Amino acid sequence: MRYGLYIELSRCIGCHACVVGCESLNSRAEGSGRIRILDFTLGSYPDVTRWIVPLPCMQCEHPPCVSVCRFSACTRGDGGIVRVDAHRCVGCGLCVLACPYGARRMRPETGCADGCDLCRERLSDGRQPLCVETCPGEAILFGDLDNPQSEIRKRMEEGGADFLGKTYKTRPRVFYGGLEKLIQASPDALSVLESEIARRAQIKS
Amino acid sequence: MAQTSETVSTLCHGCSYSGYNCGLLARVKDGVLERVEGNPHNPLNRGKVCAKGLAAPQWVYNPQRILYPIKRTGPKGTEAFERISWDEAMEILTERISEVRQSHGPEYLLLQKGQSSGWFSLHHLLMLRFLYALGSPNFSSWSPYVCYGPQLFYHKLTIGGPTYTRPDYDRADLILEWFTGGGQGGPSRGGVETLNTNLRSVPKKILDRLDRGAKLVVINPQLIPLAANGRASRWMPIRPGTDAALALSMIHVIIDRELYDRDFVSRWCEGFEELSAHVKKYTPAWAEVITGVPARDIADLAEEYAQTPRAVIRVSEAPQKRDLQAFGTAIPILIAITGHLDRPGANVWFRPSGRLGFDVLADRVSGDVREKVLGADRFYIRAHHRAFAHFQDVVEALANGRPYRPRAMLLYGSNPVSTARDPARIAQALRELDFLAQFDVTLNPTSRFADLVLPAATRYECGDQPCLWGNHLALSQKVISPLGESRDELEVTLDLACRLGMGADFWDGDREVMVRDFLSPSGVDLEELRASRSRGIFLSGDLEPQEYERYEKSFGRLPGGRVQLFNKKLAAGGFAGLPTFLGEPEDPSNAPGLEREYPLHFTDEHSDVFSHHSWMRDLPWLRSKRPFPTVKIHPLTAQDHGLGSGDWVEVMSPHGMMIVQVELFEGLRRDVVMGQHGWWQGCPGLGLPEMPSHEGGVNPNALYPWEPADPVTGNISKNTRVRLRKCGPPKWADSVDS
Repeated sequence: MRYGLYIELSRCIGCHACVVGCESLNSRAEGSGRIRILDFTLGSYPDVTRWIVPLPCMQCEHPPCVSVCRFSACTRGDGGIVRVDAHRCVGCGLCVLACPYGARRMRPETGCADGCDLCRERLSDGRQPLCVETCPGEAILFGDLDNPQSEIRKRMEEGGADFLGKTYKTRPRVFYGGLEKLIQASPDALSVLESEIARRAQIKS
Repeated sequence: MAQTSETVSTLCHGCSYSGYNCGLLARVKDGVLERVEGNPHNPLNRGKVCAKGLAAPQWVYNPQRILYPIKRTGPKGTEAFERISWDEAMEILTERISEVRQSHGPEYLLLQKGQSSGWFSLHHLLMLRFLYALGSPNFSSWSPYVCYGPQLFYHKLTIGGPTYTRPDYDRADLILEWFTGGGQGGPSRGGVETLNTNLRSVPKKILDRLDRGAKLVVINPQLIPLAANGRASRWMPIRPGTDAALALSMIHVIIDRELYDRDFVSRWCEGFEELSAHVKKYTPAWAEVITGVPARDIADLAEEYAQTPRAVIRVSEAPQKRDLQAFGTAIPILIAITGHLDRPGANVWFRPSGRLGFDVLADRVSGDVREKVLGADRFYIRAHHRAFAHFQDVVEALANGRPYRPRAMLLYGSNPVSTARDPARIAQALRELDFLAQFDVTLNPTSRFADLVLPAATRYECGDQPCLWGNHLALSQKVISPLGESRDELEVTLDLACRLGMGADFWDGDREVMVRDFLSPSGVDLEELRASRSRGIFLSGDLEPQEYERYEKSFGRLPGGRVQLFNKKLAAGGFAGLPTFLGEPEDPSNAPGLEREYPLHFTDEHSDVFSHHSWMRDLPWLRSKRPFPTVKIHPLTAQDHGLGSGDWVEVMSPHGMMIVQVELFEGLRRDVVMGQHGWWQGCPGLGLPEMPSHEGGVNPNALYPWEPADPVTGNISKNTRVRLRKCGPPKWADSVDS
């Protein structure tokens, strides 16, 4: 069982329901960063396009956050879900620095790291992550990448499955449909996208 | 203590649109609302909730909430209040209302209904009934005056029908999303929705069709999110306010190239010859000069629309134009002559399967008092049998005492100082009232002119409210008890009605009896509806209409039973019978030479995904995404003015000035500055202070012209010209916690 997400860019309208939903369920703090939205333009007016790209925790198979953690607070568990154990976390902040996607932040109220765990508790109730369930555009799909019959596998086969940040080599388990369109929108598309990701990774709160 | 958790099925108050809202499941633990999720059984939103809806706990537990009644102790213009009891508050209200009626007359009492304290059919009807029972005709609200009402008026005047026509997205092959403001549209009222909310699952409908190969055209001065991610096959960056020119030119092309539906036109329209002759001058080349859209693109769009059988047009609900007659009639004309009226995949009428409601006792307003409604001589008000007061006339009456100066006003969930034009004029007018009572969830700039402010309970704290959409009945239910001494505005109104001796007409103050009465036309009783829990009840019939081409019935009330391409009623009223381009007051054609001092075009985004009108900006989950009031400016334009991202800029029009931050945006016409409506709120949770509404503040309403107005509806312009000047941070910015 390997859980992952598939995000269909053609269906994301940048409404931030995923962001606020996650904040209301998980961190309870605004701007908490478990899922973020990139929003940038390519080209110049009038030949300009706009791209809105959700940037969740990538639930990597080679997660730097896990590698740097000396306290076994950050682990990969069932279904390959990457998560923070708040009891073990001492708040060193290394995982926050290590994540090239900027998916981790420190919680000021606890001093511990905060990160996405695909709404693990909901999964055990047979639910899906909240971002997936609440998205008005139905842009995010969740499922078992190991199951060839799963909706997510089918969609990936139909629509193509690309991922972000190839240079990082962390093997993300969040895939995107429609990245091809983005890359082809302008000669500098890829570098703009990568610098947007890097820029968001700098924002630690 | 054992933790008790429960889930309560209810309806959302995130955007508060009339009649019906998205279904929610509220998660409550030990009597505290923890969070909300979508109700998967609700056919409108199918389990999805937008950002505003999800912020419900912060809306309810907002530390800015007023939790007890307060009475003014200092001069107007200040927030000098003292706490009083509800008993005292109700006594004051009873006394002041009685006094106005007796000493002056019922028409001297105004009631205005906004949205922050609740805005559903039940609220609307109860407020009307209350006011009419008191004998006053002066009900005012945004919808009739500036928002949806005027546009609906022109729509029906042209093509009849029971409602506005709604896009049949589920079957459309071509989707025209035409937003005359800058943002993603405004509030809806049973017709056209906005992508700033999830109402009626419009986002999903459009996206599903695009997945199936439908094409999307976005007409907007800015590259809105809908057009992002390669969705739009065409983005038409139109100069703000010039939409009538585009519409008229499209009609020109369609007639000139004979692309109209001949059968429909000959069988169901009248005035075609007059229209044809009239639009000859509205060539694409003519329109290009005005709109900034290349003539070729205009012609291509007209052809594409006319030649695609399943094509829809959606325009923003509140076009807010002086030139509303041209635009408001051109759009239904376009829909009609191209054969896109009430056909699959086109613009269709919406007929709910049932009805909720009770009599609003309009006959309690005597004939001669009805004539005294403010704005009575306006054609629009007359056409509605004087059903409501025109807000601009309310303001003029307060300011000038003509035809008479109203004495008292009840404001339910409305903040005109921020949301109406222009703030200084509104504030001055409100000072003239002898008595202003405001009912709301938090204080706002209008509170500075209130004599009494009463704490409104949020929808999540109020009892049963049945709502009907299409054929689905749902129930908004109480999730938690009202905070502090806040009360349901419905209960307060019933209580007040009884104290004023009108109990017999107000169910003796019994809210539940009123609710049963409201529900009864549906044929479903309250127990059944409660028992249906999160599923609600489907009445007979389909949620979405399956019947098409209901022309005979829909045109029945039009002169000759035909679509009015030449509008006989308007002509009889002394107005142009054909859509005639006037433009906005500060367009180059109307104000030549203005561009020397004010070179850029200005309008504002009426709404966005993080706020609603002038409220919800004090909720950290939302405000953190868009913390400062800004204007969007194209990077080259900014550069010309020595402006960079985040700089403070003075935006000055011939009428007023505001100071906001610069947001650079490549997806914007270079000659446009794009503001945002409704800013004033601070967000103490994020260390952000309240900001001024008036001159030098953050409110674009200070910039627009008050006149001239559309002669038919009184609609005024949301367009002006501006110049920019880099400046230092405004004083309020000193109070920002960094």
